[in-house]
Amino acid sequence: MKNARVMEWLIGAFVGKERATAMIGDQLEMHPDGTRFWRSFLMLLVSVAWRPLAALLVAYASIYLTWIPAFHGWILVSRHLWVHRAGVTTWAPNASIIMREGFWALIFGGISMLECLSAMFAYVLYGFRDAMTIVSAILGGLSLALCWYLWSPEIRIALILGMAIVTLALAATREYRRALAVFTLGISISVAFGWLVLKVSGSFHSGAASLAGIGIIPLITVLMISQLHRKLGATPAVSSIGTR
Amino acid sequence: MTVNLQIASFIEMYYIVVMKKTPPLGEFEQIVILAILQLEDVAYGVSIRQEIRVRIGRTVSPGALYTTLDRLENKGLLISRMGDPTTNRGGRAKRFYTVTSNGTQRIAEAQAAFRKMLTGLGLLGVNG
Repeated sequence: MKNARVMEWLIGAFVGKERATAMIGDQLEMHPDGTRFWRSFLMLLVSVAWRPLAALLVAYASIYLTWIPAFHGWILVSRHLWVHRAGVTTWAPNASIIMREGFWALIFGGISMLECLSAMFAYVLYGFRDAMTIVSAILGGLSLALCWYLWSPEIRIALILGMAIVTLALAATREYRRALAVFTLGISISVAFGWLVLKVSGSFHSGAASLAGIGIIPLITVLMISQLHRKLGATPAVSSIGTR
Repeated sequence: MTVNLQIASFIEMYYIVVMKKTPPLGEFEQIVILAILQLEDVAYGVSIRQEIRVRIGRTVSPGALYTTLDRLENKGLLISRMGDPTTNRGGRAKRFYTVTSNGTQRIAEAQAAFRKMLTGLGLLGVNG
C-alpha cells in the first residue's frame, strides 16, 4: 500500500518509529484490502493519539489555573510601583530594585507555569504513578508556592531548601533520576527556546510576542517533555493508564 | 531534629505507598499475558489478537491491545524484540513478545488468588 508510509509516520509521531512499523505491518497483514485497512488504521490512530492530544489540551488549560499564583510576585512588585507613581504613599522600594525584582519575579513565574503545565501534561499522558508526573507535580507545586511567597525572604529560603531536599530524595532511585533529568532538560530547553521566540516575535510586534508566549512556548514544553521522556526510556510508548 | 525525622519518615512512607506499590494485574492484562504464554515464541500483534478471539471469543481492538502490551512491557512483565521483515506486511518486521519470569510469577499469583476465591463455590466443576 502506497500510503502506508504516511500512516506509519503519523502513528510514529505518537509511539515511535519502531513500534509504528510493527503496528502498520500488523494492520497490513490483517487487512490487505484498502477499505478495511483504512478503517482499522483510523481506529488505531485515534487510540494512540487521543491521550496525547487530551494531555496537550489539559496542559494549555492549566495556564489559566496557574497564572495568578505564578505571577503573584510580579503583581505585588508592580502594585508597589503603581502606588509609588500615584503618590498614594511615600513607602515604596527604590525604582531600580522594583525593576530588577519585578523582572526576576516575571521570569520565575513563567518557569513555574511551565513546570505546572508539564505536571498536568504528564498526569494525563502517563498517569498519577509515573515518575515524570510525581517529579513535575512536586517541583511545580513548590515553585508555585515560591512565587506566591516571593515577598517573604524567610519563606523563600525555606521553600528553596525544601526543593533541594525533595530533589535529593527523588534522586535516590534510577527511575526518578531519569525523570528529574528529563524535567530539568525539558524545562531548560523550553525556556531558552521561548526566550528566543519572544525576542524574535517581539521585534516584529508586541502582540505577536504575547501570542507566541501563550501559543508556542507551552507546545515546545510538552513536546520536549514527551520526546525526552520517550528517548530516555523512562516511559511506555503510549499511555501507562488505560484498559486493564 | 524531630522535624527532620518526621520528614525522613514521610519520605520513606511516600516511597513505600506511592512509588513501590505494584498494582494488581487487570483482567485484560491477564488475558494478554496468558495468550502470549500459549503462543510461546510466535506472539506478536496479529497472533495475540487471534489467540484471544479463538480461545475466549473476544474481539480485541488493536489500540487496546498495543496499549496493554506497552504497559506490560513498561512494568517489566514482557519483553519484545523485532523480527525480520516479511513481504505480506509490506516489508515490515513483526514485534515479538515474551513473558518475563516476573510476568510469569505475577500471573501465577493472580490466578492462584482467583482459584482460592472460587474454592467451594462449585462454579467451575464438581469441587469448584
